[in-house]
Amino acid sequence: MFYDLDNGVIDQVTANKRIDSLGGLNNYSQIKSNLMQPSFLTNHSLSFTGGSQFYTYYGSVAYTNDQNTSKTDLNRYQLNLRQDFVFNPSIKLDLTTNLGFEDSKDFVLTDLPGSINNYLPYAMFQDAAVNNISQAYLKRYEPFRLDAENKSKVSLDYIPLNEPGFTKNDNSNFSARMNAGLSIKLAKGLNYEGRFQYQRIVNDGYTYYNNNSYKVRDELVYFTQAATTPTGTPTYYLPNSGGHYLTSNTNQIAWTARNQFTYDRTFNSKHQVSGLAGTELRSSLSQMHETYRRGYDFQTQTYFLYNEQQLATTGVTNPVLQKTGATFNTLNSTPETFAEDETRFFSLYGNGGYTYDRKYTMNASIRMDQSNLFGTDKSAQYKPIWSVGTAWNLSKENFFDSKLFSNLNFRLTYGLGGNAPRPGSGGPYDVIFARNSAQFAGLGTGYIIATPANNRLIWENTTTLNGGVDFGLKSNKISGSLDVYDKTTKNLLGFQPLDPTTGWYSGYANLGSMRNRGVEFQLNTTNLTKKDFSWKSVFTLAYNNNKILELKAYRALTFSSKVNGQFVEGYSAYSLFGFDFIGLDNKGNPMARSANKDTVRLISQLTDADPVYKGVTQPLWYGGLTNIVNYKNFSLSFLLVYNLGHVMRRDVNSFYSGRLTNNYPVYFNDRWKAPGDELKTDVPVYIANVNASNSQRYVNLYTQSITNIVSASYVRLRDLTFTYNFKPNVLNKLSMQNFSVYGQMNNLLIWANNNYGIDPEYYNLQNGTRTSKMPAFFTIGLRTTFK
Amino acid sequence: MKRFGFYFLFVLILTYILVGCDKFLDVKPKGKDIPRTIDHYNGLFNNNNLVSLGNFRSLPSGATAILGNADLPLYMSDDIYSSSAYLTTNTMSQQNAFRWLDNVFLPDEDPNDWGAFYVQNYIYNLIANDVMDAEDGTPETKKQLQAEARANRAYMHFFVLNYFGIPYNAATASTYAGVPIVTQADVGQTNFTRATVKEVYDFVIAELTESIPQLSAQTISRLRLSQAGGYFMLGQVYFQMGDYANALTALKNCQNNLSNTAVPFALYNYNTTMNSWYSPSAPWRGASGHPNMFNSTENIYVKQMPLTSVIQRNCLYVKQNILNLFASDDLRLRFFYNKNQQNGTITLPGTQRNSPTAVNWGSSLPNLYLMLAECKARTNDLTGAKQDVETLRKMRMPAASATVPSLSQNDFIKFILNERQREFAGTGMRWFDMRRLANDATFNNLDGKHQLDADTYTLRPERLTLKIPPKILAYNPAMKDNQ
Repeated sequence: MFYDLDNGVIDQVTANKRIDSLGGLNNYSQIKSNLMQPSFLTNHSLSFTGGSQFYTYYGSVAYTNDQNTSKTDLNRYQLNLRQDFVFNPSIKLDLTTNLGFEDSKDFVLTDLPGSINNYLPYAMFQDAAVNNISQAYLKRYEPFRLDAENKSKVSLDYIPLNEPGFTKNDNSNFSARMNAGLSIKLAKGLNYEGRFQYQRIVNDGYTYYNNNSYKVRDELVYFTQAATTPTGTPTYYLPNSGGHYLTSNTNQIAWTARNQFTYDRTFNSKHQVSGLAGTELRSSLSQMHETYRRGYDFQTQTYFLYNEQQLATTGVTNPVLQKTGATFNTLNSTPETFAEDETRFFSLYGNGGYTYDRKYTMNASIRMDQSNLFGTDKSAQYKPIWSVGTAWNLSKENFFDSKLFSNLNFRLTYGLGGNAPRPGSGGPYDVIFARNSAQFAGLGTGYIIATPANNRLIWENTTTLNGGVDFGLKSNKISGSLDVYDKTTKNLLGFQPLDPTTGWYSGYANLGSMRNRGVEFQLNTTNLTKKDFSWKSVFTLAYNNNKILELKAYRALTFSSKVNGQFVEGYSAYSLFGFDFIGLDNKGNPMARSANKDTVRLISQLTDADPVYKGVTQPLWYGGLTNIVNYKNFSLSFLLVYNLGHVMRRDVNSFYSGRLTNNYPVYFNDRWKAPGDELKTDVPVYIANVNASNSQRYVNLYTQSITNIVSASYVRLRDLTFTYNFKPNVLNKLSMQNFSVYGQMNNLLIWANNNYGIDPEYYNLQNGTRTSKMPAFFTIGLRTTFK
Repeated sequence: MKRFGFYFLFVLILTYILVGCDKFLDVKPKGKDIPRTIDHYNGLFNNNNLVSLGNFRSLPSGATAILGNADLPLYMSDDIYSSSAYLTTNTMSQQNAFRWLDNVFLPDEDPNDWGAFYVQNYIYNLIANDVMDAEDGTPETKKQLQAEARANRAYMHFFVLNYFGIPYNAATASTYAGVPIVTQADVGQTNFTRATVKEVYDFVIAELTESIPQLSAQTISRLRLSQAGGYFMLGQVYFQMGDYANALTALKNCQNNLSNTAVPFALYNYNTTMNSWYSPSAPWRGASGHPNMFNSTENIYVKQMPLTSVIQRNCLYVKQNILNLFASDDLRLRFFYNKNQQNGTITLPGTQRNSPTAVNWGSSLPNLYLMLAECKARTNDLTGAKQDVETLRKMRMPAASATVPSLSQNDFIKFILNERQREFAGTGMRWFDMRRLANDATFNNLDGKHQLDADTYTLRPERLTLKIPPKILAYNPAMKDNQ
């Protein structure tokens, strides 16, 4: 339209008319009705229990049907059985078996030109008569498409809503788990416990795109040469019948064996000794096999061959459609993919404690882990972590005589924890991956280096000092605890940017150190107890303050590592910095104030001192409040959660140059359009050419401005449950033990401290982008047990 | 007694677990490994990313992210011009390089033109330093792989020096800073210092000279280095330094080794091949049938520079005075056209090189013949020189036009320099000739003007050398920048 207007093909009136008619279109309801469905979950379960003195069992069967908003349909069947055997008073065995089967079918709509969340609103999927219509115009300029169709004799039309009909898929999952535990009393106070678990999960799935599918047709055209004579047949280098058949098979086997001895005995009713020592073995193996076949016929289960080596190296010259910037098209396909991952762990652990006269306690623990994980030296794994602690129960002292407190216990622990360098991320050896490519056929297996060696890596270690008090009031109406902790982590492990002169852009390294200090408080209260009425509540409050003490940077700090990064030495982790935005200039470009009070417009004028600290994206104060109210047969409970004191970036529009191919936030309308607008708006002007835009301004001065950093605090009513329990006399007649009806509402209300309708829980606070929100949902259930 | 039996059993289990533990943890994951065997070290060369002068980063998942190519010479060569309607779609550093500005790289940019060489250098260092400790393989094989790695490492240093070190001049080479010499595969290295231009050249020549005898005598692939390729590199280095006598010796050695090969070496005769490469009905596609660099029989060892991003953007056009150098029946003209390559629908402000979509900056026959010719001409072997130039020209145009007229030594050298401009127009290889000829009193043919619509940008001698990228200076605060 704009081209036609510009070239004088149509006049302004016609153009306006056409723009208005497009403006009147909105595919929202078509997307909603054709690409989505209301989410609906049903769950049925039945449990049974029985047994004797020596043998008891508990079993359940369940069926779930889940239809989610993206039109996936899933059925799940579950069978659980737990059996307990008592051989004699000192030997017990339990055995739990879980079997599960799951089958799902996805709604597959491929090659949609754009994300459904910001799809062009005027690109309609159906016409007025509810026929599915073509969107080929979003794929390719029409004369090119017709030319390509003519040369290849393959249709390149694209009707999105017809596409799901051209695909088939199915995915099934079978899982089995056996868990056995053996407990033996060996001597007075000494117990042996053994636990063994074996688990296997098998996942099988396929997706099939038949030859009407756009994906199949489009790829074919790229590997087709036009016929040399008008009546001739084009040369197809890929099968021109049959579709793409993708299969995927994964197999997971995991087992755990734990053997431990526990000891707990009190001597002379004064000395209580307890101890625990054990070993644990863990193994997990996962295997994956994927195939990709072209030219596959679903019905006859046959396929056509094509020359993979030739297509990967010499490719197709003079194809009907060229890949951008290439004179010949090559195809890099992986017809088969295999992957296997096996991890094994061995742990040794123990702890011991001693309490004198129930007043003075001392305890200590130690743990050591080893793994087969790669690129680490086994010797480097023998690094135990330990802790020691002491406690004093003041309320048990003879001299303790308080009218207020019934319980008062003081605790103090100190410990050293450690983290080995994460295997696979870095270690004393370079890790290589096998990667073959067609160009090197005949020269041996190819290898690429996945992670570089770094033998300077040392363990990350954390020292924790924790002090606490548990208290209970005489009236038993109030109890709770208060903990204070101070945690210092040194040699933090993580990825760090590197000087490319080394050959790497980032590497796993010891980054620096960090200190965390905080308070945790819990209060349980019984507010009211009357004959038919009771009200209890639990209140929790936590406060955390942290600071990055040291961050080893191999290069100087830049403004961008402050604004885009989250870790800056001397500040808290997840700090948010912004530009000191002062408004738009008379061309609609953003301006900011630098640290030395100059006005800056360009990226090259910025220094690391310019960004201003505005807070952290992690809440400083957080916790919850649960209330449970009972009145006769009714019961009501609700949970409030709160997160306070943190900040986030606003979800401003970030599209200010380039081609408009998506739907953008409505804030785009507020942008600067004509001189004088700078007095009314802060939103920068749109400049079509990306590089012209970049060379005259830096839009982030606005998008990452401190004026766009707002409070992320919120309080949410997480859930509200209402239950009615039927009276026993009613139940007796129905031979039921209990019967209740309940209704639960989740994600009900939110009070967020911002004016932009942002729910900080479903939001990327650092980048200022919304994420898919979990809507309020309701559950209604019946619960009953028969006699 | 019953109790005792239990204890005994548990002690037995526990002992078994502790003893079996080492075996239990000794399972190796599939698909990945640490470099141990000769196959591993050999396989490290079989890496697609080493074929281009590309900048890439490997991810722990085993995937590779391609960051770009060391392609600024395409923009800084003096045989091209541009138009802002198209150039503005390029990255800022490409635009700045075209304008020959002092500050080319953005403050936060990971510079491809620095990274490409050092990223590949890491892999070559790892092989060079560790292959001798491989658990298997004969000493000969180990030495051969080590030589291949050392020669390539030297080659990487040669390239990066020709971006960031001043053009070689025997008088000043030992006073001006070149680039860091990195011979360890160690990510913990910091505070790199720039060796002088002379030190880098000395390192490159010494490494190549020591390595060449150990390289495979036979060329087994255009992607693996043989003695022929090694001698080419050495010749190219001397040639770049203006040491034509030494260059000649090395290049002759290259030529003599060409016959020992498993892959065919031959110049394409455009008089016949162009018929199948070029379609008169779609001239905007150029010689689209030209084989790719891995298969082209003209290539000895491939280090390719993709032109795709230039062709895609339609942003660089060969200057008219360069096009005027071509005889009208020169078949190389088929590589140039003034419409967009995709479908010929846009008429461009100039004539762009549209095919093939990558060019080989490594060892190739055309460059071999042209370097041989120039070395011979400069050492006054005009007959030899004439023969070499004509060998190439006969393959590029009808025989009648291919003959070189009798010329004086100086005019003949100028003719060969023009032949280089014809053969390599719009490939970025001119950048290296610009640097080589900048200090040549007689043959300096630099054309230091870049036209961007109505604006003219002038090349100052300092900008034959890029300044060190700001990000590299940030990592190495003590490092000195260029003028």
